[in-house]
Amino acid sequence: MADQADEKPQVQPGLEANAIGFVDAVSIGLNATSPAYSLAAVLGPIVVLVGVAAPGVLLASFVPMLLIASAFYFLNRVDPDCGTTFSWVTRAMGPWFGWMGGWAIAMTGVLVVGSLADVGVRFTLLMFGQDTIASNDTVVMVLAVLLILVMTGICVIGTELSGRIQTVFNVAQVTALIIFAAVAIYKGASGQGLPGALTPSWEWLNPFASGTAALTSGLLLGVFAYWGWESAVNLNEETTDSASTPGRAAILSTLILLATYLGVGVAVLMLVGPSFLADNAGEEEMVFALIAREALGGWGWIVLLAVAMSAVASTQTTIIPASRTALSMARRQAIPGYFGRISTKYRTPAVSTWWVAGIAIVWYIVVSFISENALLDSLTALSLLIAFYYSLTGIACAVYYRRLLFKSVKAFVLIGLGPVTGAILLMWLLVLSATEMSNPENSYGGESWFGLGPPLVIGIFLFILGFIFMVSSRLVDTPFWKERPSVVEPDLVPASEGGDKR
Amino acid sequence: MSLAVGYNGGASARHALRAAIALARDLDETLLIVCGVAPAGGMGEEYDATEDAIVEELAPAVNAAVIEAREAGVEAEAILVDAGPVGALEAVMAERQPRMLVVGYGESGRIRAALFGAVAPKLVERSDIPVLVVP
Repeated sequence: MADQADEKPQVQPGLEANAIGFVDAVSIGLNATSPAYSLAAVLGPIVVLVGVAAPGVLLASFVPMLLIASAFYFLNRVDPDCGTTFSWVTRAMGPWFGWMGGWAIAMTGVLVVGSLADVGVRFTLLMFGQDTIASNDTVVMVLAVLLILVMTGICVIGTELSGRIQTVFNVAQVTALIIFAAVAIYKGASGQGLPGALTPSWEWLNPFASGTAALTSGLLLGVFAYWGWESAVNLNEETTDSASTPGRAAILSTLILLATYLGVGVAVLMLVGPSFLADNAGEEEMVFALIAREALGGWGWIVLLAVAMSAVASTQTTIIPASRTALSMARRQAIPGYFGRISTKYRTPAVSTWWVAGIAIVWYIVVSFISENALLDSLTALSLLIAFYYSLTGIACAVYYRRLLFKSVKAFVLIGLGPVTGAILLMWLLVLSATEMSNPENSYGGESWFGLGPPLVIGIFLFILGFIFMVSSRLVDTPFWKERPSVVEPDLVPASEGGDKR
Repeated sequence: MSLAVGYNGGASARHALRAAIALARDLDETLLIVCGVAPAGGMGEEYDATEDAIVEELAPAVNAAVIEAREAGVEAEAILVDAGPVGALEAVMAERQPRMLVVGYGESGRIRAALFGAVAPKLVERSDIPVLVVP
């Protein structure tokens, strides 16, 4: 028996999970993006930045997302690890790029958690009519830190809402947003809007309607709004009719998502207009609450509840990837093994999860003190990181599949051209916005750190920090740094995409 | 026939293991020592890396339990399942048809069990064979 301990133990498969139906599959697609929280966090700033072009910007941001999602789909399919950017990029482009990709993912978790908690706390307070408390930053900060601890605890304990409850939550969330959009559009159309409200025009769908100056910042925030959507096309679960259900569910959840974003964007312009938002720009994501009450009056709490629920529920889709990536990096000896420790009782990467939360709390507090638009600056910096690791993934996809790309048109378009175009679009966005943010006058609050816009400083700071950590991990000579780039196994790819799989 | 015991190395699971070993010896049954190793939090990101880490932590404890049972004169077998603790026992129930399940009551208090669910009550609900819950 003693010699058995040396072999890798066999793990038997569990019972096949109950196949999920069409509605649940649609719900999973929506869950990953948390539409209510995303809108609450970025819609106000986008309208302030690009005015009437907001719906167009939300539409345009979806294009690179769609192309990159294709990369995630094809990488996930050949990777039996159910990996992430870290695993894939390391395999396709070697340890250095892989390390930076993994670092970017872990840091997105750190940057977003503070915002999730902050939005969750403020909207919960607003829902109960506690507006004075909700605008007291100190109280909100204390409550948000407590909420982060609770949310992290939930991730460590590894409990999950059942799929059924998640579906109910998601349907409720989207219904609340659609009711809000419908009422706001009706009020706007019947002349009950605020002074400054606008009559809709097709021009709104043109992202370039208000010139290009603020466009890149707007697009970058738009990318944040769709962040996570790629998992909607990666349904691993068994579906009741696996030939067509996942595809149709992904399409429907995408249409719902786009319709909700555009609908709410149009509704806000029709009900209050961009000037209202510009006047209340200091309120950041609170703007959304003001508009919700404007539209629904006494029923505004419906939208506030949807946002609060969405923000809290998002922790699972943000903290878990960050901590699992850190665990995976530790196990491949890219970072110290300490971060790979798990809780046997709860079957979660407890150490890396608490580290993500700890750094997130410190980050949230520090940024709140030194920046006037702390959360928005963090989100913009977060969008820079997302754009970085998405484009890295897009390129890695084409590089990993390079020997198969020219064997079929389908492979060339979906695995090569699409992801690379998406990657180039995002990198172009990254460079343009970095150039723009190097002039603080263009930043949202007009603030300046070291003569640069705060989000750019945050982004550069995180990259330098990552680079220092990477080099210091490199100093310890581990097998990870000897990993060499490889290409996809043709046996794993169907013949229609240039592979040898029968 | 056999008996199946849920085991994860925790204190409560140890009580269950001891009871199960004694019972298996008295009834002259094979003991299946079952451990769920699926990462909590669902499929997706770095699932296999996480599961490997869990298996590395848990496999030695499960192996030790098998040795303990054999030393007590009981035929024993370790089964690691890609599922949660409840799902693992359900899978073994379906595949191996044991005549009884043995589980610890768990270390969580009542409030925590109510909030986050506990293994024993869920099993009682879903099992069609007797479940022995060890305090």
